[in-house]
Formats: sequence, C-alpha cells, structure tokens
Amino acid sequence: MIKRLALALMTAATLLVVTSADGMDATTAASSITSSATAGGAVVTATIVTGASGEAVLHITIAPLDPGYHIYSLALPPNGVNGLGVPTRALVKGAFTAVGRPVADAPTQYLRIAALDVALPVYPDGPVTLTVRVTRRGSGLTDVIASYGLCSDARCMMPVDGLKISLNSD
Amino acid sequence: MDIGANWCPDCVALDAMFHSAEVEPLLTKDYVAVTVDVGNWNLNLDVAARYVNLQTSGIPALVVLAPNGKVVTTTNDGSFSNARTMTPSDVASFLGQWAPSSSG
Repeated sequence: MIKRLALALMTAATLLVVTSADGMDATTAASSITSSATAGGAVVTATIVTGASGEAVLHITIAPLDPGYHIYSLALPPNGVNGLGVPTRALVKGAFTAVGRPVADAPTQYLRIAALDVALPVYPDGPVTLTVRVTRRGSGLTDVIASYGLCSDARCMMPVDGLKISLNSD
Repeated sequence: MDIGANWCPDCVALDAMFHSAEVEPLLTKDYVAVTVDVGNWNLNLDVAARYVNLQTSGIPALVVLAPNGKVVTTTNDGSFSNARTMTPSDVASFLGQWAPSSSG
C-alpha cells in the first residue's frame, strides 16, 4: 500500500515538472490526457494539460527509438530547402484547437551538407517536445496530426506524413 | 536502378555525383540508369520491394540488373544511404566493380 502511494506521488511529481516547464503554474494543473503512437522510428506522445482555470497546453514529444537521430526544425520551409528535408508539423483539431504556433524546447541548428552547398535547420539528436496553447471548442476526441522525418549521419527513416494521435478529452 | 526521393539529401547528393565528370561517362557507357521515386514512402514501393529491402538499404539504394533482369547486386547493406559523405571516386568504384565490361 505504501509502495503504491509512493508510486502515485512520483507520477504526480513527474507531471508537475512537465507542466511547470512550459510556464503553467504547477499548482494549477488540474488534469491531463495523453496518448502516443509509433511511426518512422519514433514514439510520438501527445499530452494536453488543463489548468484549474481552463487554460490548456498541448505537448507533443517526438522521441527517436534509436540514438543519433534528429528531426527537422519547425523553421524548415513547407517545401524544404531546395526541396530537401521533411518539415516537422503538428496540427490539432477536434475538441481542442491550437492558439498560436507550436514552439520547440530545443534550439534550431544547421546541418551543412557540403556536397549540395545547403544548410538544413534541424534539432539536436534525441527527443524534442513541441508545445502549443490550445483551447477547448467542444467535447469528444481531439486529434493531433504529426508530420516529421528522422535522419542520422548515416541514413534517413521513412518520413511520417499525418500520423494521427487521438485524445479523448471527455 | 536508383531508388530514392527528392526530399532526401543523400539521394540528391548521389544524383549530383552521377552527373560528375568522373562518374557520368562510366554510367552512360555500361548502364541504363532508371530512377525510382519512393516519395514519402508512398510511391512505387511495390517496384522497390521487388529488388531491395528498404528497411535495411535506406535511400538512396542502388540495384544493378543484368540485361535479362536478373539482380546482379543491391545495396541492401545501406552502403549508399550516406551518399553525402561519399566521393565521385567511391561511386565510380562501385559502377566499375559491377559493370559488364569489368568481367571481361
């Protein structure tokens, strides 16, 4: 019983750390819903955290399954740089909709490909979390649609175009 | 057969080397080059799957076919998936190794 209580407290503490990282006061976090899916060599986890006063944020974490892989930056244009690269994008629709544009918790850096004389905006290797404020428009499911592509120094994984992650926000 | 996609930096780098002074003569002399575009892994996958294992080859992947359609070699080991780090000499070496004229 004590072990179960301790585990529950640890889980709650983890949630508070996550919610405080994006600016929402941890003490006001009232609830969260989360779901995940795997595609293109990464696990994508979507979490909506709703505060006590109704404000909400959506976190989308794209975590490569293997070390050494990065995704492209949100700064990559829709058609890439000279057509190169796979844009990272996240859309939200359903019960919650986005307010503003997502921001990443990692800095954009430029991967220079000398052979092509281009520099592609990417994030450092490893997981990246995109955060966007959302607002409730109704009830039922919220769909998070994620697009991205993983690459390492040696190879690129299958691009993911429109991976749907459904969150039940009721 | 050059299997790749336009968004893929290594594929575009390989294509540039195919048109280099060191590689293009070898390519035109001994090969008929065919490009297979797999898009965002949503185009021509059935064609690619007949010749390579994309999960291990990555892209770009190369397949050398004999005139009778028999597979001579493939880059299922992923040896061209980091083409951006290769040189025209590397590509020329591969083409020379598998060219019909190299066997006699």
